[in-house]
Amino acid sequence: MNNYVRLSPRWRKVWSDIWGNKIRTLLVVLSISVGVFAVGMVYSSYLMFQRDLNISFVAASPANASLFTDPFDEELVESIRSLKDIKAAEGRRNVNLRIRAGDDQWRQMVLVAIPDYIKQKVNVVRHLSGAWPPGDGDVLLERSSVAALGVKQGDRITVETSTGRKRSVKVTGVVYDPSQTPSSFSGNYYGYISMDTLEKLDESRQLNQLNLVVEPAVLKDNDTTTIKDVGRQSWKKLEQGGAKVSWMQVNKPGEHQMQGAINALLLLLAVLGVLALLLGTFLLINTVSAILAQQVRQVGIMKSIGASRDQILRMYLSLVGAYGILSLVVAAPLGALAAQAVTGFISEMFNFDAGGLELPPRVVILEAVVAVLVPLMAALGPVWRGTGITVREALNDYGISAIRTKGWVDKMVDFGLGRLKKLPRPVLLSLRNTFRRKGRLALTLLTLTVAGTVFMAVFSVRTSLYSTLDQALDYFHYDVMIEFADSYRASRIEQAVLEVPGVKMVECWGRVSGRMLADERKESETEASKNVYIIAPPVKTQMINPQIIAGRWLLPDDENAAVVNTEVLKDNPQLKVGESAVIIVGNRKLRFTVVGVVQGILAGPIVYAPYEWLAGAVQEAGRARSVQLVADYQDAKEQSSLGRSIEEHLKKNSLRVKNVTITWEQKKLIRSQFDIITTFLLIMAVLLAVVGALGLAGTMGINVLERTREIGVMRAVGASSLDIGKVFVVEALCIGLLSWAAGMILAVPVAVMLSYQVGMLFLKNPLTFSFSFLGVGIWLVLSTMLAVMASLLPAWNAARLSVRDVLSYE
Amino acid sequence: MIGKLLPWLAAADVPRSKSNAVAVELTDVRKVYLTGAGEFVALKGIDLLVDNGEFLAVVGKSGNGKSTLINMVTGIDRPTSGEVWVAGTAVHTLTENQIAVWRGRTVGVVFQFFQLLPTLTVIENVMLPMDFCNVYDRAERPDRAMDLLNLVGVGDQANKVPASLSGGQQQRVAIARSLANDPPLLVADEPTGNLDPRTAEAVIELFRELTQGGKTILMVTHDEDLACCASRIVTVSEGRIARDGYGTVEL
Ligand SMILES: Nc1ncnc2c1ncn2[C@@H]1O[C@H](COP(=O)(O)OP(=O)(O)OP(=O)(O)O)[C@@H](O)[C@H]1O
Ligand SMILES: [Mg+2]
Repeated sequence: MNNYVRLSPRWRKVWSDIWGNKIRTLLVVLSISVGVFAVGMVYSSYLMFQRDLNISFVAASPANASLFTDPFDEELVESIRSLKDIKAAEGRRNVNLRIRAGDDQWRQMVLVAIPDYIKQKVNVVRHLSGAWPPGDGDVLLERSSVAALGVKQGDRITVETSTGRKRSVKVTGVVYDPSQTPSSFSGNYYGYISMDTLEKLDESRQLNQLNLVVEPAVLKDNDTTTIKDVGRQSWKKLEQGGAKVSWMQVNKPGEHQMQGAINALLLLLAVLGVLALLLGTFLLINTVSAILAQQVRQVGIMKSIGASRDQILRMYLSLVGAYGILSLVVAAPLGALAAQAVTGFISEMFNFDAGGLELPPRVVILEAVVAVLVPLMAALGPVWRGTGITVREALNDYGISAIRTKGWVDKMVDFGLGRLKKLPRPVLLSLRNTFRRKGRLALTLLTLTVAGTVFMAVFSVRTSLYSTLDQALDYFHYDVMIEFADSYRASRIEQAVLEVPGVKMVECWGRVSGRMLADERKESETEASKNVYIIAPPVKTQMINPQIIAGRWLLPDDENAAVVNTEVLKDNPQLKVGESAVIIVGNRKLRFTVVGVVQGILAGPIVYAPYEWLAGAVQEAGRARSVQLVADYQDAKEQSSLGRSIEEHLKKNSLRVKNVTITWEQKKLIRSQFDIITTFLLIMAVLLAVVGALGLAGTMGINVLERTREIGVMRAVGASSLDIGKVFVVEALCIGLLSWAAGMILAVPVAVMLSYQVGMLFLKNPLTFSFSFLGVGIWLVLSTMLAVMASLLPAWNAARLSVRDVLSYE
Repeated sequence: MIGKLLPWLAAADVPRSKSNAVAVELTDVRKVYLTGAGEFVALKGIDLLVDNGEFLAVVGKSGNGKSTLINMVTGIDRPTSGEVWVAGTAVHTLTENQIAVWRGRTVGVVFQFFQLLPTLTVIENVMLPMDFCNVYDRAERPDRAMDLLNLVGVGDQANKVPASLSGGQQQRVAIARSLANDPPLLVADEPTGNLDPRTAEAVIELFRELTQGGKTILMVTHDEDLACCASRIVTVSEGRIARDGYGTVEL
């Protein structure tokens, strides 16, 4: 009896409310946990993500500016290093060569040669396994390229040098280069070699990229003017040393090269967290109100024996607080685990190292607030009302709620049900039950509707992404594209290609890369600028089908006309249709008039110019640098092998091929990039669906608990278990269908907004909107299934109760 | 903890009562209910004086206002007009919260349907009023609860939950609970309504013993034989006191 001294009866009552009714405790803890989990997951992912990205970032000491040039000697780097305000300067050599790994497919690989791997100071490449530094004749692969290429340590890779000879190098290790976008995402492969190996690959022992880090002291936050100044000085030095600079890239200090996409994912995460918290709170208000409603009589009894309102208030608030603490204990570790998974996923996407699991105090404090304060606040209203009830009211509550004067909703429902007279009585009962507790119904509907809306909207975003993709891919009318290392006479290329069986149609294009200047001023030439690819197809090309957004396509009479794609526009917002654009190609300054804008999606910045004019302007009249062709066959595999045989044939004709692109492979790569986004969105949808289902299950559970007495009465007058079960299942179905209908209507504007945002963040372009009726269908099936599942357990519980159980039930 | 955070909630001081007052004094008590069909007058001007130590039975036909009347005394319901003095306290002037605290110390209430908390054991149910009103020393409470249970004859059931007790046993527990804070007044609304005649008689016998110990008891009953055991019988008819007498009354 000693324990009564320690724990007084009223706290024992609170305890037995928690422990004695495990299903109810589970329901409450689940609904609180949903919010705690979501908030914890989002906040810890955010922190872990920032931490890991930062660690990778700082360890790599990223360049503030990079200059891409013609080959220069290492001594030149020495003289640049002595410039004022430069903390570190390092040169490296990038060569784009064709390689062949295990399978006999030729691919393009970026081979990076770094003079001193041990003393790296900028854009540091880190050793992961195997040899270090790369030995003579060795290549180390970037970790994301290993799997993508399907090679392992010890394998050999064949490299085709720029002179067309084949050399074999051995894969001896794996490195991690944080400054590269992972292969699976970019479609590029990265290899790291020594200067000796570079020489063996028929390249000079020279560098063509200069990376700079500016003294941190002179950097003002995100301001890039100092970086640009320092960059310009280095530019001058390089050109004095005889190395022609083709362009300079300036990075915002402390900003990842994919910051936009990262922010987009974080935004989605935050939206998810807030939604889950909101829905969890709705659930909680429902559950706490129901608990109070259930305990009205007990509140009355306690009041009748002398409990004051604040004592009862304290008991119930402590009960809620205890539920909160329980939820915190459950949800906090789960949230941390989920955060780790999310960080892992993102880190793979953006190529940084995901660090260990961590549960920082900040997160725990926030979780505690969400777990304890939010429920207390949500409960305050219901508890205040519940404890304010008078003893007479409380004891008059016999468990079957009294008929109140009917509001307009009831009248409408009655009217509606009146017209459905043919319905069986149990179904009528279910439908009437559905509308009985309007507050609860409203919150449940809201929860399910929000979940459904986002679910359907997410599906629409997915379809919109795919239709945008289809539109983007409709661009390609050619099956194979071959780029040459040099320019050749167009007639010679055409003739050679047409000799290969299976080629239906060919078209030769001019193709150069250049950089877009801000304006025509002389000084702009040495400013940071963005790279563009100039493609010069015949004006009446049949190989591509660009979507015109503004202005027009090229016309036969056009001289220096240019059509730019939207990605060029993003980099150079100053461009306008009808105005001029200046592009530096080699050492020529070309002046264009922009005549149109076309959609560019995942295509890179492209400027289209008339073949005749461009070929003349770069002194390559009658010559071409690429050929695109349409194959006789539709089959993807045959197209790939056609590409290979053409390549062989061209080599025999001593035309030097730089790159062969098979369109369907390209399409596959683009699609897989889209899948990353849609997978993320789908996970989001599923999480919300789970929350919605929990909400419905909670409501149905409460409904059963609350109507136990009524069930007993039904039993007593002869209802079978099936009848009783049916009443609840039908009720849940009714709620599910209502929320589905409401969600469908709401989903349209939400989907429009969401796909616009996703488009702008991921593709820098609004998506071509298309509403997903598949999503509507799936949610219909899912919400009915969830409704049935959510009501099954409560219904079964209800059906199991015997008359005696029920009528003695408190 | 929350009490400290929300001190304004804890204010429920009850005004001091007049000393040497009668147990119950009702003057011109009227009760009007507002129903969907208009006003319904349940009590039409009740005057009633009950002395300390009386055992009063309230009888009358169903729906005539017996429960309404004694709910005025316990403060479970409020009069529309008139005054309700119980043990020198003007109940009609107290707030809902003050009434709860006052009732806990002054009035023991026994209901027809026992109304025990289902999740607490029998002895915990009895200790609950002491806990809420913070009377008796913490360490003393279990012993006192046990004494009360023994008094009503269910001491051996102390650690069971109410659901596993018979109706008569539960009613005894409810009576033990109503005595927990040693209130001078006991009010019971059909305490025997759910009991067999033998058990009912035992409960009434217990009440008589309690009045001998100095308590005042108000009891509503339908059973004329039981009513006869009381020292005074008041008959309520259509919201008025139709008869008020000592000894046998015809129903
Ligand atoms: N909350 C209420 N609202 C409206 N009318 C009420 C309310 N409570 C009681 N009444 C009415 O007041 C009258 C007296 O009710 P009361 O409960 O006092 O009767 P009673 O004498 O106790 O009957 P019984 O013996 O059946 O318990 C009844 O006619 C009842 O309909
Ligand atoms: Mg009554």
